[in-house]
Amino acid sequence: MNELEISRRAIVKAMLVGSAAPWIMSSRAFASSCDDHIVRVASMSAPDSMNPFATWSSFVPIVYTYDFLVGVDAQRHSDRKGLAKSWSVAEDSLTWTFKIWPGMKWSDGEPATARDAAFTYNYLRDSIGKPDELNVGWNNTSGLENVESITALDDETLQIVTKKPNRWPIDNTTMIVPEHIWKGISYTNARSSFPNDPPLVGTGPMVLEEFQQGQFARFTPNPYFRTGQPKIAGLIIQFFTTADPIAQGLKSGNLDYGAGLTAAQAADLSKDPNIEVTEASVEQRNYLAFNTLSGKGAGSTKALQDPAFRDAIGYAIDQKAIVDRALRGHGDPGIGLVMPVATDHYSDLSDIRRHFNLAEAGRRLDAAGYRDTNGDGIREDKEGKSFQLELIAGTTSGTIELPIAAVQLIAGWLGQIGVPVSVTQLDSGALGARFATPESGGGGWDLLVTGGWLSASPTDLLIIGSSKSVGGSNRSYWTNKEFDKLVAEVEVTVDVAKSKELVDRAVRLIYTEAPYIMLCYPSMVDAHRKDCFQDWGLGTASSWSYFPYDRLRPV
Amino acid sequence: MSDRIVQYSPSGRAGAIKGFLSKFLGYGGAQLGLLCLVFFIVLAAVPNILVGPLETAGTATGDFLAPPSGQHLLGTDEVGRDVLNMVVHGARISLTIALLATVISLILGTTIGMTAGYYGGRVDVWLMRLTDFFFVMPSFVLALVITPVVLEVMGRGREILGFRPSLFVILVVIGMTSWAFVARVVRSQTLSLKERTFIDRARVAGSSNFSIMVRHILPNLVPQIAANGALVVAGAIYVETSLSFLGLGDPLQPSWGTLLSLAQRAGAASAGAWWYLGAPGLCALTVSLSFVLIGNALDDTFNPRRRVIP
Amino acid sequence: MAVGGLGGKTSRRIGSILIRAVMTLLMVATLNFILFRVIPGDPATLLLGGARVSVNAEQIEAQRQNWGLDRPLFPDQMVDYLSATLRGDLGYSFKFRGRHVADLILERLPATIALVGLAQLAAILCGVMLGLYAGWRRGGAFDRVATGASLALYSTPSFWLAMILVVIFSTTLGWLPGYGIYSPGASIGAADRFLDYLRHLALPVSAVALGLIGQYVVVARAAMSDVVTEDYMVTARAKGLTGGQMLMRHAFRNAMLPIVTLISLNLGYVVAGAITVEAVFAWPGIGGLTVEALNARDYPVLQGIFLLLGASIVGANLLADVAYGILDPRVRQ
Repeated sequence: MNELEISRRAIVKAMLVGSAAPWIMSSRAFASSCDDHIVRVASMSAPDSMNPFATWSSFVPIVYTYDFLVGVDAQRHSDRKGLAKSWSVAEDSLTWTFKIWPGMKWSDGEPATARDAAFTYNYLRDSIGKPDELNVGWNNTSGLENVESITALDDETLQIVTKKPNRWPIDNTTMIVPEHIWKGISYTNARSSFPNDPPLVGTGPMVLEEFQQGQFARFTPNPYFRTGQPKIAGLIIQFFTTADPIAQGLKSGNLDYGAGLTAAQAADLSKDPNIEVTEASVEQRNYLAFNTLSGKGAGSTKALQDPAFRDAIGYAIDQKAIVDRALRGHGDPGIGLVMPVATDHYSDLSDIRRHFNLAEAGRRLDAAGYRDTNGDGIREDKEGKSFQLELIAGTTSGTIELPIAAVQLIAGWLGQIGVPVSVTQLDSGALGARFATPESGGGGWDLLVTGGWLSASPTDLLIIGSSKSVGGSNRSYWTNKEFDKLVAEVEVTVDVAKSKELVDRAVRLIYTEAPYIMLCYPSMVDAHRKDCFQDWGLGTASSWSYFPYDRLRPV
Repeated sequence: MSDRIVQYSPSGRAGAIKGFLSKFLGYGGAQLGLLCLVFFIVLAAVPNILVGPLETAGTATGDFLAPPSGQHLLGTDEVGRDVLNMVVHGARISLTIALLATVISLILGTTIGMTAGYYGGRVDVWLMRLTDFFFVMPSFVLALVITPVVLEVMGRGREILGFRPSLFVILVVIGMTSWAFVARVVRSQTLSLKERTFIDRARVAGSSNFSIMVRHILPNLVPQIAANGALVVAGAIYVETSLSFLGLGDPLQPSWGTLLSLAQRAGAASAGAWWYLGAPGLCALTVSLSFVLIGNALDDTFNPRRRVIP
Repeated sequence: MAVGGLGGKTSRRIGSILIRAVMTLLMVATLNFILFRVIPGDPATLLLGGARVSVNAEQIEAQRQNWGLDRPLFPDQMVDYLSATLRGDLGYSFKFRGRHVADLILERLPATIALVGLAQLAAILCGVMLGLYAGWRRGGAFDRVATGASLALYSTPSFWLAMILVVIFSTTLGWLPGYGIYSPGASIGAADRFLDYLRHLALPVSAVALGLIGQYVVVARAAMSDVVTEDYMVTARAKGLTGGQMLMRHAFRNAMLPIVTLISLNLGYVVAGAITVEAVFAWPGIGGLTVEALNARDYPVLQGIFLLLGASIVGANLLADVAYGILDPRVRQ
């Protein structure tokens, strides 16, 4: 029976294939074994070039290889340092002296000294004003225009003299690169095509050995790291665009650490005894911005330019509900420009804070002249036009995504006070085009919900109200002379207490003018497995440096 | 197909329709397809009566990502909305987008195909090269790139025909990118039709080109257009679902694809929330399958020897 | 004489097919250029890093000049583009700091080819086998189930299938990895590494293949039913001379033509479907590159991908047309 023969052959084939399957599946454990002492990490990012002068997108992974002079972490945590062991500023608040760790070496064995730091800063500074000014990447010239000189007094001492009092010398996050690699690179190449191919030469704990764009970066421990070769045998960072693979990898043991998890994943992962879910406050703030432009690029109604209108809307936003429902508690309710993690400048503004109250919002709108005169349930502006606001929303790259539920809540509340809102969600490219300056084709929207993640330095805290950043970080186009004056003053202030007072004045000013309503400060939710490595420290990996991979140990 | 088709007397036409219906409904697939379709059309027509108004993050009452229970038959999503509620409302969005997009693509495809076939010559060459482009580039990939453009151009302001602007954009884009297949079929049919004697007769009688196309050629294309139309709907559902899945949908008026996208972004797959992923996907599958079944049955009815797809 | 005439006809036919293919490609290139210039989103701003920086107008202007974005779109940028494309130069990526587009695409291409190629192969093999058997047993239980399942799979969005596979085989059962192309850095031998690769391929390939299989089942089934109902077969069967081999051969030959058409027609849809499937599995292929490039408004990369896609589909159609001539003598006459 030929007919039978056909199917018999098919069955044999199917059995062969079938018998291979369990064999393939049974060899699954090798990738997740702890034996090789390699830490596997997931990152939600899409790095491109490995050249810190040419890109903003590659902070991860190159930060694991390069050191900052001081930077954010060294100021926040006593057990985390950069290239400088210690630093001090003279009485005049202009001259900064840094003591570099003695006897440091680059990962290729060459000595690493204050001269390399001086080279990096001078390399950047000398490009100022040239056509190829180095201003397109993580290592950039901003802040260096205020610097008088950068000198290596000896191998272990670096001196930076600023023109005006300024905290830039310790706040800057310039990655210090080796002079012997970079001295021959022209500015044209440094800002664009020089790929800085692995293996990178740095002073950080892990040396970037291999980079596969869109896939992973592989590191080996730096044998010359200043506190001794790290205990882990290597580090692999995998790059993803969604959080799903990260949660899967943590569960299956293929990943040791992953950040940027969703609330649902955090809840699910915390049930696993081998996994510890942690969260960290970060510098991100999400806000509702009003388009305050008049003239070109203005929104659909003049009310947007009226502080009283914006103030009333502020009473219709329930920040706590946003954190509870949209972030499921993984964050803090929004108040002012300063997020809680910026402890030096944070204030809860308790005396002037707006509290969610739709009735109060309605009363304030009535008082400001935005009533519903024709009884259709929709308020009219002072020109007699019914409100219909366009709200655009989107996530800019490099920030934690704000769930769209937050926007839905806002649209709901505004609808209840008679200000209907239509929402358009945009990708980061289109969003950038909409909040650009009207001269470059931006504007025309009414409300914007988005977020930004900058440093906690006073300049960055106040940047969204500064007239210099209109079209960039200042997305409400709001400008105010007094605010600008405070910004300028803060920029030349070194004393923390003084700086806090200035920032507080600026924050209160912009809070009352209300071009922005802060919605929330989302937390970075992450998780690590406990079975292969220990000494995770705070649990959360630093978002400003390479910690804790310098001290992580196999179990 | 012969000249007789256009010469039907009214009673003959009624008879033909009756004959067609009995043949068409004789196919089991057609029955099943129609049944499913009626079910979903009822859902789409009166979602508010069935499950109440669309839940929002503000009106959600459920727990976060709760599995199916007596209170929430299909469980809840990551902000506590009832999945059943959203899926039923999604039926309206998905079906309307698919049907309107199909109408657009049928109009475009028929117009272009008929014009090319009827006029021939240079018109034909250029229109067909344009068709080739849209035929070569998969409509999904094209839509993926075009959607942001159209969104930028028309995505401002109020609702259009009861749709939020971004949804309207999606349906227009799907319509604009999925007509090439129809245009090809219609063109080849037109080519053979225009050689028929009744067209010559009409021309001699002084009918204009336009009226020949509309009065004489178009009616004869109906069977082709109908059978292909059902398949275009299935394709449109596929494209809409995929586009929305990549985040181009409107999260405030969620279609099934948008629900899948929301589920993916909330991490439903890794958290094991099968109800959140399963419900919208199954609905899309069922509706798409219904249209394929109906399309096949139509094709079998008109043209028993040949099948278009699959 | 007859042979020569036939050859002339064939070469003329192939010639006209070629001309048409080239025209379509030119159309693709031109429309690509136009398409990517009208998309909103300023590449200069994106190049400067978007959200994390404050930039000023001069920096943006410098950036535009640097990348040639300040020159008029037509004719300058367009002529440049077309002539460079003809020379095989796809330009430089905006996002990936001056890397050649061709390099970027080549880097990502193998992953997609493996995914799409294996899926096609699996779909054809399984689909044809199942379809032939279903056609042989037409009207039976197997046939009904196979036909029904084929249509259902054909109607299923492949990314949804992918997510369901992940939920079942990765999240719940933990049998197969649900993301990535291999476990990087595992210190293992070549054999294990290959196994690791296969394991990572399993789910994505299944997702794409299951979406395709239905069409092959239907085609093979139809071919088989045609053969089975042929007079000589009916007679042969009645006589009890069941030439199983002969039957298979006939059915197979019958099925070849529609399958070749399907493969060439499907290519575009397979790649399109692969974009969403790649998104689900974090598969480092062309699909992922497309989405990344779209978000960064990286025109040169998108243009390159579109050109590649267009060229491969035009090429597939071309091959199918030629194959037609070989497989089906009627076309030649």
